[in-house]
Amino acid sequence: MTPPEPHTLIDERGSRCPLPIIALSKALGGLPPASIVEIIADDPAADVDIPAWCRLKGAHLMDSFAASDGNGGVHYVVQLPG
Amino acid sequence: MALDAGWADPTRLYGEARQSQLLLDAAKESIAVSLGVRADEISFTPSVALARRRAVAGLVPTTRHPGPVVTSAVEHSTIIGAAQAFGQPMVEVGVDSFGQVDPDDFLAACRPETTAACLQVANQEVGTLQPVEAVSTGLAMRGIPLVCDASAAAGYVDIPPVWSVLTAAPESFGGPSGIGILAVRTGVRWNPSEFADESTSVPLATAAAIALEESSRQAAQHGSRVSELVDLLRTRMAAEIPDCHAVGHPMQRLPHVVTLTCMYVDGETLVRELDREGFSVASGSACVAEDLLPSHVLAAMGALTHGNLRIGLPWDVTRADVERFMVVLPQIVDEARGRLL
Repeated sequence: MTPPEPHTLIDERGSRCPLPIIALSKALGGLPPASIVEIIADDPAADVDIPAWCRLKGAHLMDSFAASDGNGGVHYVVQLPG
Repeated sequence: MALDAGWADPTRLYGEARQSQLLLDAAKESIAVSLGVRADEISFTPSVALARRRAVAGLVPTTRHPGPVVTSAVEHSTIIGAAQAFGQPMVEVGVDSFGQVDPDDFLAACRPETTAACLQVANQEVGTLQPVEAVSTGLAMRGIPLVCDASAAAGYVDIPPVWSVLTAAPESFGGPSGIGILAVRTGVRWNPSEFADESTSVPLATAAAIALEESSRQAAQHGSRVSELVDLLRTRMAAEIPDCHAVGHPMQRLPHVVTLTCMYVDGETLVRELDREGFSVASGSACVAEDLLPSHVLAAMGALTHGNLRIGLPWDVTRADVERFMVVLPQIVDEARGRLL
């Protein structure tokens, strides 16, 4: 799935739990409802925490895929609650 | 008392050794009564981890082409490791958001060739009780032995007598560490020769028996009172702390365990700050684990793996203790978030 443009990209590679979730929370506070946020994280806990955060906050995890820029990590494409 | 009288090797024949043997027999008798087991079905291991490993490894497959071991996804990692080591790829049955296995799903994963099924009595991290009785009839019909890890449950709830192999953890019910309890039901195909004989520490076995008796007695006396305090903690903290959730089953749970996750804080900070306030709690958060990997239990539940607190209430906990905790925790969470957000 290709995320609709425009969307916000946050690179949280190198930061540990719960920092990637805090970044998502800040996006939730600062962006219009239903915005698309793409976050890149490489903490293994993010793979559990980002879907859990989406479920608890009513956000929608639209897609996740491995980063292809050679720096590792996973992209998570999240639609904030409407 | 046990150290004075039970220091000798119980397998020897001199007087002190016979005294040790008597104490060991008495410890087994006492544990047998507490767990609803026959005394001759009980043995001791030098650690709880070893009891769990042997509970799986000691089973003798009944079919010529033994199949995999089936476990829940939230078993203790030692059980999962032992199941993996059994020689066939293991089958892991998932859980719902409370951390509970569906009995039909579990039985559907058990095939005629399944070597053994492992289902804990209660989960060690979130306290959720598992449907061991519901799966036991189907397993018995298929002739599959049920390995029940009761290491979180023994001493806190009655253990349903439906298991083939049972493990219990003295260190979890107020007894000593350095000893595990393993019970193998008479008639289970079991290979004791897999394991070298080891002499049991009689003082540790005696202390374990006394602790189990005491915890079971306290559970009968204080279980419902403590369970109400758990309800209070679960509802009040989830209501009063923003983005705080109680984890695990709200009703089908151990009477004394509360697990909370607080978003946007790390578990390590919470544990450290609570310790400064005189509260000893644990955290299943990844940042507390040595390997930095998230807890497989919380992951299987789809729960947040950070900001996690596991609180085990002691039997003598008072309403005032809990009230004080409920004042302190929101402040600590608020301060920790202030530093991160």
